[in-house]
Amino acid sequence: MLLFLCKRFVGLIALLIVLSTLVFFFTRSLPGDAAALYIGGNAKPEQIERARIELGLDKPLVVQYKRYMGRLIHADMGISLRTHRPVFKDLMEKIPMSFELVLWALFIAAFFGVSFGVIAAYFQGSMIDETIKWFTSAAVSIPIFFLALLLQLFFFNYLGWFPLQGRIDSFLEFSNPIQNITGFSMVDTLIAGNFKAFFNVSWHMVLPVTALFVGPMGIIARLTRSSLLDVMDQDYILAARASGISEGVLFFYYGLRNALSPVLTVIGLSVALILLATFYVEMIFNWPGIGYYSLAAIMSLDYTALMGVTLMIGTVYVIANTIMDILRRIVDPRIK
Amino acid sequence: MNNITLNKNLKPASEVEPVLKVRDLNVAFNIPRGQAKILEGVNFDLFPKEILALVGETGSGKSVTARSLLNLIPGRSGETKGQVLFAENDLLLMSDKELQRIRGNRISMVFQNPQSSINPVFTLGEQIFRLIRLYLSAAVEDLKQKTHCSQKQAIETIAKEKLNEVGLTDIKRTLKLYANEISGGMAQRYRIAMALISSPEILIADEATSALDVTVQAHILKLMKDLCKNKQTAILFITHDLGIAAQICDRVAVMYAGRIVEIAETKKIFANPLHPYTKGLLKAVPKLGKNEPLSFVPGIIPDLVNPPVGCRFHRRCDHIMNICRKQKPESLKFEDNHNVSCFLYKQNHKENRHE
Repeated sequence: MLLFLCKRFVGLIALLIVLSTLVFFFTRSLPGDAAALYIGGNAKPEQIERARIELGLDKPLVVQYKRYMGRLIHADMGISLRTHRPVFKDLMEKIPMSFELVLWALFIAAFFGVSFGVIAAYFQGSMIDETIKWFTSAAVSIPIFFLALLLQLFFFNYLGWFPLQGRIDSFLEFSNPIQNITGFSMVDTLIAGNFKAFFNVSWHMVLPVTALFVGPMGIIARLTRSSLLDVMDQDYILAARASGISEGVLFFYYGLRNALSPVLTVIGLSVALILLATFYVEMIFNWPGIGYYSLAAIMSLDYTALMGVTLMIGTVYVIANTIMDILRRIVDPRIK
Repeated sequence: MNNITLNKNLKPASEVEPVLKVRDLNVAFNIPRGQAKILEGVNFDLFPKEILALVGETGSGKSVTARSLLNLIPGRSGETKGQVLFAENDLLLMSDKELQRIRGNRISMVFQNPQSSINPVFTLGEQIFRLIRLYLSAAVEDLKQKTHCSQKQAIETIAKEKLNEVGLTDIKRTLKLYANEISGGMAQRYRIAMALISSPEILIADEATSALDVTVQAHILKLMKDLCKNKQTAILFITHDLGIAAQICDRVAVMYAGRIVEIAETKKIFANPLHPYTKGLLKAVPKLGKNEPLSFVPGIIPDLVNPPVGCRFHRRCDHIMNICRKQKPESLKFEDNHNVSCFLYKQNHKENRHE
């Protein structure tokens, strides 16, 4: 296990090096003058020149690359062209906000996806199965941004049950402000005993989390169903049934554990899916997380911030898949 | 191992009550082309302590017979009709709950591919412990009282004992292994131990030795035979290998295209095969040392969606008569313990031959 983790860690480092190199050269080949963007509009040419020297943009590309990689080791990703703050600091502030959405969406997608898949497989061919099949196909095929807009239309506009956007109601932001402890607003408000803000924040999270979890949940449910049905046709299930094991134990204990391995892989992959979806979900719901930050960075050609975000997503992705691989090893001892 | 051994105490049907009676068993599978009539009117008795072989070529319905005895054919894929009488009850009419009390407890089954019939994600120990808790709770309690050990230790002791019986060694280590870490022979020994945990009245061995190499096969056969003798278990031994049937079985039933065409004591069927299909099968067994071309039964098993009318063998038969195309042959008693379903042996049809 330790060896496996070491291998994964080395793999992660290698991936980050390749990724940062690619991102570095790709963003530099984009049109637009970074120094001009940094200094802002209506700047005089000599001011732009000064900014260029300040940012080191006057040096050859290879020198810039060396300097960038050298700084990266110290978690220094440079200065954001848009916010004029260190990118790393920006990311550390934004990541928890997004992860709050991502983790909830992932957890709900995994829990309900597996549950619906198991129920559909158990009642194979029945009305329940058909309903779940229809529902999950719809969930998989609806574009996330469209779903997000529909949610706003129904639950804010028509029903008024949930807020349109934002993280917390503005009046609460002043009366019961969120203290920044972990960066996760729900955790922070709970620790601080700030229940009013806690419920308000949770209430604000419902719609964006829903927009994020529906698609992955559909994929996980469909895969769980087919994987489980496949397992239930195997010889060892027949043999166990012939030895008098009850159907319940067969299905939920013997069968499910066998079926779970591919499902865990897909749950790992949905991390990437959800992370990508946060880009527009955060935009639509005006959620101040990493997605919103990246989109703004893209709009203003803020390449230092983009490089930071890319590296961060790569890291998260590798970590998520490592966790899933560890779980798969626990579930299925054949994976070695 | 090579001599034909017969259970001398075996009494004919009239004197001993069979432990399992199969009456007019019909199984049809729904496939896209229509309904495949896999089994049609299968009848046989299994007597206590005997070993009955069910032989036939691939697709003759041996395994389906075995599975339908425990009602293991899922309702959505097929239809099972007829009666399987066990201890005065029809197994085909039982609910899942009632069947669970029979399956693995009073009628056990061993399958063809031992490794794939062991759950790959649980250790061998976890799987046998579950069955011991299920069937031997009394013995576990007993052992706990006697030796003052924990529940877990008691179960492990019994598991060791059961696995020792089937000739597995180094059991402490074996219990921690997974299905992919043991050989086919070990796996089948383990499956047999699992099947015999509750000392069942019947063991159904569905091609239990076909996937094993010959030396392992011989060990497993001897093991099954000895264990069942000790535990007074009757065996329904399904095989395509006539040599095995000759070695260990008391009686042989020959199946063809979903029907039993001939059933007799092993000695009689090998000395005096009656049905043209049985004759062909016996001729097709290769003989060592004789340099003659391999004999076979010409033709293939008929399409079971549209099976031949009358005798299902008539298209491949050398002795075809008019009646074979029209009427289903009934089982005729040729002599004691020897029945055959063929019009050749029905006196009044003799003159019909080769018309």
